[in-house]
Amino acid sequence: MHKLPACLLVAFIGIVSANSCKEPAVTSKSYTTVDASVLTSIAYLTEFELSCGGQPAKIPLYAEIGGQLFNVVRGNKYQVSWTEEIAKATRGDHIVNLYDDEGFAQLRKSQRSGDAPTPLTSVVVNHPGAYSGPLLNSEHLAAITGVIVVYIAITCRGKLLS
Amino acid sequence: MVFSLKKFLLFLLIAFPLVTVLTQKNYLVSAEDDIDVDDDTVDIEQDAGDEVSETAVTEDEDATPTVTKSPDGETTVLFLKPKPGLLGPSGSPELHAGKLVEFLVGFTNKGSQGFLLETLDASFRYPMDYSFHIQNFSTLVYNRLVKPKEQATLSYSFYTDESFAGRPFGLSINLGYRDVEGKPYLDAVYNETVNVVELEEGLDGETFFLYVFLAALVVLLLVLGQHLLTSYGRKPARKQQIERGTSQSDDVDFEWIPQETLREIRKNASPNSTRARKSKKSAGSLSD
Amino acid sequence: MQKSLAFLGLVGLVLLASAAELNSPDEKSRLLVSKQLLNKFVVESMDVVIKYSVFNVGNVAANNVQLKDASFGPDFDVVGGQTEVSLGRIPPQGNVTHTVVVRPLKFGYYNFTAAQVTYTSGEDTKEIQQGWSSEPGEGYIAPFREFDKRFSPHLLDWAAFAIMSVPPLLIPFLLWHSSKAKYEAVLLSKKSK
Repeated sequence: MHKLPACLLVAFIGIVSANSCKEPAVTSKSYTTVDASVLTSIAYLTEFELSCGGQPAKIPLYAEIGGQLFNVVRGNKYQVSWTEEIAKATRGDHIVNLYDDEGFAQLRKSQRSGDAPTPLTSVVVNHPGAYSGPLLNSEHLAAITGVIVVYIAITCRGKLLS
Repeated sequence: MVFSLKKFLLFLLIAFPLVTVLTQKNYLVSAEDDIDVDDDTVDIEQDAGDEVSETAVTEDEDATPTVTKSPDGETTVLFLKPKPGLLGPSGSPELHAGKLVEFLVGFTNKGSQGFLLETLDASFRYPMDYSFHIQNFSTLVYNRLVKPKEQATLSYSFYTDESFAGRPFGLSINLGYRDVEGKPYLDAVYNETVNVVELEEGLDGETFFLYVFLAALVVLLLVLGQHLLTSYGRKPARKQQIERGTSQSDDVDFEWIPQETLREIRKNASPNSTRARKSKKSAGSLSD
Repeated sequence: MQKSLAFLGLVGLVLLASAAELNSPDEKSRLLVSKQLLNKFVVESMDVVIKYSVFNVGNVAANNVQLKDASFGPDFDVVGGQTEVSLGRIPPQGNVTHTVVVRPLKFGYYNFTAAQVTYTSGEDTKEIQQGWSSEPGEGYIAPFREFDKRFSPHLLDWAAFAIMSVPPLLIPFLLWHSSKAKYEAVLLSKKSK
């Protein structure tokens, strides 16, 4: 008779400790550098706020992006940021998986063994691709146009003469 | 008096070349020694020998041994590029030829008075004799004040020359700083032998497409050139055709032919040929 | 009894010594902080990516690492990231990066100065270590107009050039074409005659 509530309690604690944040919800704002004509690397930034069951949370978080682990830094908001060289930067959605302390420990263990734990929640950073100057410089375009005009003129002349 | 001056001049004339020759010999000998001590690859070493004579072997003058580091200053160095820690696959420090080398130097002020971090310089030296400089990289001036119990980080970067590939060098990094009284200190932050290795890079996509594009451009130019050449070459052939054509075409001048011959031709061709008449007509209209 | 007490005392001393050794000056975290600009050019009202990398070269973790960059005054607009953050815990030989994107609002020479880092070394010390990052140094913030002049595609200029180069091509062509048309008309009328 006494054992049952104790069991329940243990189970409850188990749930709590496994998931320090219930019903996690994030509101995020992302920024990536889009004009790469003056940059050497593309910066990916996301700033977000986490709430657990409606309450704003301030727990330490860790992030995993494409197999790489990052610390989530905390100012007024959480922030995850990383940079990639322009040549290696990939456009599209980058999924930032967020873990709490325990999930992160499991994740690090699993990186050796293989099966990843489910993240607390995740944030998506979309990089639309960066503009790194025109594909063809206008002076080259003008030169090519000039060559084409000359070619047309010469062929016309050839036709007329023959 | 004059005589003694002459003698002195004579002595100078003899002594000066002798001294220079001797010193040069010394230099040569020391350089060769270094080469002999340097290991394995012979062909590269010969190259290196050339470089030795070129890239001015200067003796260490600035690093006076009296200036040492302060007991209150503690430095750490961390290489960021080519890779953190700098250790290559062989287990010894490696740099990549022709690539950027970047490192951070941390300074901790453990004392009770401030230090002014003035300069940081890096140099390649002979691994066997660190007093011989092979290449000095620029001395950067920082002038950063580190207050008591504080720390500061300095960053420094340089490019290794591609011709240095495959040789060991003594990499020496020195931090020059002063305390508030102006007493100078010099801390050899890093003083180890590093190997400069050539990085074997696969063909990267961008350059590959550049080559493809260039090849396409060359082909295009060839095609255009050929086209133009043929169009110019065709012209004389056409002219011949035209000339042949005139002999058969309508407006033929028959006036040079004697009348009786002409009559004979017309008689022969009269039933089905309107050519001659036509030609006459057009000739007439043209003269209008 | 005394002997055993002395022995206990000795054991205690050894324990203390070992504890002290655990906390000896060799056991500490040491942070190196680099502040880098990931830009080819710094241009007025265009993105400047600033990357802070914090490396722990010590042999214990650095705790409660705080990074604060107060060097961006009113002349900069922070478009992404925060300039005052807590990086949490950095394990030995670990590193953490942080990125901020700013846009300069003015042009001219500007001295990019160091960011401040505070941390505690190890688990149980309260003493706050204070450090400064590397300085990117003085750089030139180019005015946007200058940058535009050098790197914009100059489409308008080229269009003007094309328009200007049309008359010298078109006028001879039209002249030739009209004369050709006239000649052909004459020829046609002759033929039809």
